[in-house]
Amino acid sequence: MNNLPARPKDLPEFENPPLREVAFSIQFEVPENYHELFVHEIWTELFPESPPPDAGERVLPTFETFGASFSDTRRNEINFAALRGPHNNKYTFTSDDGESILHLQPDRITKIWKKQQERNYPRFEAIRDDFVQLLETLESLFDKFKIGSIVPNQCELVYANFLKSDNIAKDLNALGISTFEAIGSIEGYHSSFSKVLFDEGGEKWARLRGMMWSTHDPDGDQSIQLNLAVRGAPEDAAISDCLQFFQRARVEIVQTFAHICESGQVKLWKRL
Amino acid sequence: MHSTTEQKEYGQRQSVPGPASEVAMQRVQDIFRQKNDFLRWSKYIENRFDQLNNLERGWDSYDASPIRYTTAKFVGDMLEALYFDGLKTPVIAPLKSGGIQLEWHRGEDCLEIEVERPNFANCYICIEADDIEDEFRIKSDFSKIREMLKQLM
Repeated sequence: MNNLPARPKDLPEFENPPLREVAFSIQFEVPENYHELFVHEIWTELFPESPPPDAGERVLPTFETFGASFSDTRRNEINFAALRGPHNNKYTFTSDDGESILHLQPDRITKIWKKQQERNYPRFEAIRDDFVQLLETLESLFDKFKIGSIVPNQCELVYANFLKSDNIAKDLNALGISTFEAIGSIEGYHSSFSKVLFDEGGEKWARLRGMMWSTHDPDGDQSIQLNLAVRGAPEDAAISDCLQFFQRARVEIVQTFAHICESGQVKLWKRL
Repeated sequence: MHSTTEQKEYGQRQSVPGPASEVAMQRVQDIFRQKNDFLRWSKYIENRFDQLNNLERGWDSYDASPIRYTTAKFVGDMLEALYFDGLKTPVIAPLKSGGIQLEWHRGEDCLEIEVERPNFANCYICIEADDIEDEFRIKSDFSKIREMLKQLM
């Protein structure tokens, strides 16, 4: 895939952002001739040095839709459990250093970058380029074994941040989230929001979801986790449309992160 | 600790509901009715999807495709987004391409949606009294159809 766009010049940038995970996900129609045996081919082709993949429960397909009176109050209440879906598993391939994770199931592929110890965030472009390379190999394998083509119907980009916090109430105050500091020491916190994203023509193209809660980071330190995700349909059903989607989603996520964390903590991550 | 007088007054308020409590009770009853209506509505859809799920290739005696799971899931998400209190259950029919067609009728008036695959649906609406006849494509924003369905119901 040539001519992938570089980082937009006016996008807020941080020297050491509190990112722990970035996930690129594409959901697609189950290719006509997909079979679980194909997972072995992927393993030997893409991860010949890695241990066999872990099998887990697949994620059900989901679609971001617009037009309901309350977007989130009634979701997934129609029970599809009885329907004949693909009964295959979700397979997880993990690189030796644990930094790169791939989830594969018949109708979804997810590439996750996971921060390891003191290594720095390699940046969106590097993770995207890895993902593109992976998709190209996967497409050529699909072609070789006559599996069918990848027809995307949904994309998702997720950034998971851990903001270290010795005092949740104080740090929430610093972020301008609430005035819990006046209450005193609080034990836990959880909040979420969603926002419909419009393109230049006024069309709804995706939904941004934010979740913030008190937790412990992978090092065991008390933290506030801030997840920002953009999910929606690509412009058309092609991989190139998905890459365009991720590009726009990244801009929304980084700008939202910068707005939320404008005060206090931003100094820790050195905005450039 | 309430005084005896306060307890008595409280007890009286409990036994003779005022207008405020009647409004609250009515609201609770409405919520339960709406919830039950939605459950009945969604149960019909689940049952119909179960029937469609049993269609094998060639169900039309020719070469029609079975219903695709992702398309059915998309239609389910669409129906949830379209739902409002008073919405009738649609006619749900299979398409030979593996897609699903939804239809609502009121006399000669109708709204039809052909979902070929996720994010790809064609709509047709006809409401004679309002001189409306329109055909258009939709992706994932169902606001326009929802408003038209309200006109149709």
